[in-house]
Amino acid sequence: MYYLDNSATTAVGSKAVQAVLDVMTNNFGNPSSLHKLGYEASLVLDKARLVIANSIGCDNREVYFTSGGTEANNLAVLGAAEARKRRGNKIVTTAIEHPSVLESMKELENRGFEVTYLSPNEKGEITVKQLSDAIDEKTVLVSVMTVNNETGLILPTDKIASIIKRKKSNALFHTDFVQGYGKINCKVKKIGCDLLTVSAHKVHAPKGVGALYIKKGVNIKPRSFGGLQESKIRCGTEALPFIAGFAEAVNEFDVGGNFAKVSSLNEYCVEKLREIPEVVINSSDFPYIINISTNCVMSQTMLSFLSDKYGVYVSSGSACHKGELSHVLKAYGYDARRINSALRISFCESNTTKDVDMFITALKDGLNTLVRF
Amino acid sequence: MKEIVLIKVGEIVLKGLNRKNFESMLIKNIKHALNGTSRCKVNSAQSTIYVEPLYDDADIEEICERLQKVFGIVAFHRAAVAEKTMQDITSVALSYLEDYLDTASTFKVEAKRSDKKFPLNSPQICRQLGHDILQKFDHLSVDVHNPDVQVTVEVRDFGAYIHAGVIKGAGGVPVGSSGNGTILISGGIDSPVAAWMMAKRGLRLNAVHFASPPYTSQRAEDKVVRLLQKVAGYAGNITMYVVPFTEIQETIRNKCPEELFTIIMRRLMMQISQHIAQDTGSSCLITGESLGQVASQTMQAIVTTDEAADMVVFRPLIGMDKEEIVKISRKIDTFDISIEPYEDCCTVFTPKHPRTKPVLKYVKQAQEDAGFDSMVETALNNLKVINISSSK
Repeated sequence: MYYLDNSATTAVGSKAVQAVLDVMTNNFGNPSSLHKLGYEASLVLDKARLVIANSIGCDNREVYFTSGGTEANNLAVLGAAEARKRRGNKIVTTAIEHPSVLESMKELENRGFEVTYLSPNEKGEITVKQLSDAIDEKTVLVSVMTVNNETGLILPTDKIASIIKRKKSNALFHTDFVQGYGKINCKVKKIGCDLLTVSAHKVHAPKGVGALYIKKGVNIKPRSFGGLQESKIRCGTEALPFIAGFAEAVNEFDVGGNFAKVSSLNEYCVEKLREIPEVVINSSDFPYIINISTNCVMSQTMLSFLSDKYGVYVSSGSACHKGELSHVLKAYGYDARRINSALRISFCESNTTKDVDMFITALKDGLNTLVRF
Repeated sequence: MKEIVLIKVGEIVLKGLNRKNFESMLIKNIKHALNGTSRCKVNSAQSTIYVEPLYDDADIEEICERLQKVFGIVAFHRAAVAEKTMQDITSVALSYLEDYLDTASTFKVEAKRSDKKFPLNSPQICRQLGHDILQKFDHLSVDVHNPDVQVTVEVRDFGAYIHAGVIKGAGGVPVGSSGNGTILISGGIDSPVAAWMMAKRGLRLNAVHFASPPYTSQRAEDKVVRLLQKVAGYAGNITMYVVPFTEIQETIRNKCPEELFTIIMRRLMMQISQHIAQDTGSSCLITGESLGQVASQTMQAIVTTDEAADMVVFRPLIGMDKEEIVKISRKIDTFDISIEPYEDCCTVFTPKHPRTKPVLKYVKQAQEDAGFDSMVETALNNLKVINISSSK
């Protein structure tokens, strides 16, 4: 298998698997139970929380576990807007956010909020100036992702906090950090955000768990109601096995080392892709993600061909569309041909040039044999 | 760009001939506080302590955060280093302070030239740099009385330093410079604050906690550990002694008059703590009592409790209101932990109507009748020792 779809999800690491298994079989107590087994489960939870907190540079009490990136994004966007609605109704986001943010924005529009969606300019960038023009003193929430999941575009999130300050706005600032987590360094204080989303299954941990950073002193409205778990921000018994696996995977982070490794793999792959005349490289700035278009074979056709004949796994836009036209590439202003034939290659640190070689061979074969449109 | 931290010490400079001792103790504490973060050189010159990261990728935010918890530091600056030429000073200032100047609408430049060999004098430096800033950031205007950003240039012996704004330190005197003290800690709001306050005045701490399983749970003990981890962020490492207190509390319950439960318990706590303090080189006990807060903290009750120990007992919260105490506990981040709902030994077997004006003679008599001596000895022989360091 040549797995090059790591931005969709990743294989779970063996240590994480062990941790999950151990909690499920030995340490299965409810962290809220007052007896010894419950106490031991609560220690696992505390330890995991600290690991996640350290990985993003915050206090452990600022980490709230959720069922994944989507829930964390929903909670951040809806919870923050609801908590701030008396102060104003303007929200700033981008047109290339993950659906879990965009759909929440739609819901907020139904509730009377006014949402500004920023699109990439002709160079394919969202600039500090665009953000600065959009944010004003009536803005209550800014939600901008750190790294785009389809193109790997890195957004200037590091400037947003100072823009908000300069505009004398008291907007909350949320960033979806899912695609950057474990790949670039994360210090919430440096970013200056109030809310930050991470997900476990993109970093070699199980699906079904993620976390939201909520800065101390920032109040958001909960979206679920029940027990005292997660300070009542996210009720329900914690998914302890997954949380333990999540922490184990985060312990394995080697941000700098992996970045260097993947950067050279990216260069290698781009070089090979440039030799194929049909291929247009849409973006390759973020080492972990390369987005290309063949302009002649439908994405779906190509990726079935690659996986069935060669065991090479890549994706069209993102896995979350299930085949719909990518809203991200649309926002870039690409024509239908380019969008319909787009492929995303996404790496993890354990990919090698062997994976790339097989992908290139398979892609060439596909371009030669498949019917063009 | 190279960034360093310049530390201004407070009271220490007034210490006359002892100043060197205080200063070297402070430097030692700073080094300890920075343990585990980016490696730094720490040294003192021209009544300033320099913290200089050894590598360019140093996490200066983390360094500053930790320095904010070191007692003995009144204030510090996070500064960029420039060569001692006007050209370099200007270019470093413009790029280093870009974010500040970008978001401000008024500014002012101040220069301190302790190296008198530098060709420009202070007003000249100000004029030159102010001019260059205005050229690059044309939305700014100068306001010398109430600027949004004050740009300071310090031209010193080893280089020029540029900073905008001062970061407040924790104040106080270096931990250890006043000796050692033993804090009696329960898990409530007050005792961690009392510990913090005495550490601020230079005491190095160890702690005594009383546990009565199964009346108190492991979680209660854990809670105290987490509280002390927060305190240790300021006070350095703390050794905690957990006293097995079940037998003594059960005996109080069975053999003493109900209205005296609390007062006798507190006397025994004092006696046990004093033994531990003496054995571990502490010269005082510290409690979180505040006059009149509860029945056991009336003046008569405190007098009766105090009699149980020969050692001096510091009660830094004695004149403070609950609100003032809570304010500090929020500041040192112990409040949220303190209010977690776990039983501690002080809430086990509380009398319905405790005596608010106990008479020493009767209390002593009741205590003697119950005969605690051997139990105290057993407890002292079965201490659990936990070493606590800062949670970060």
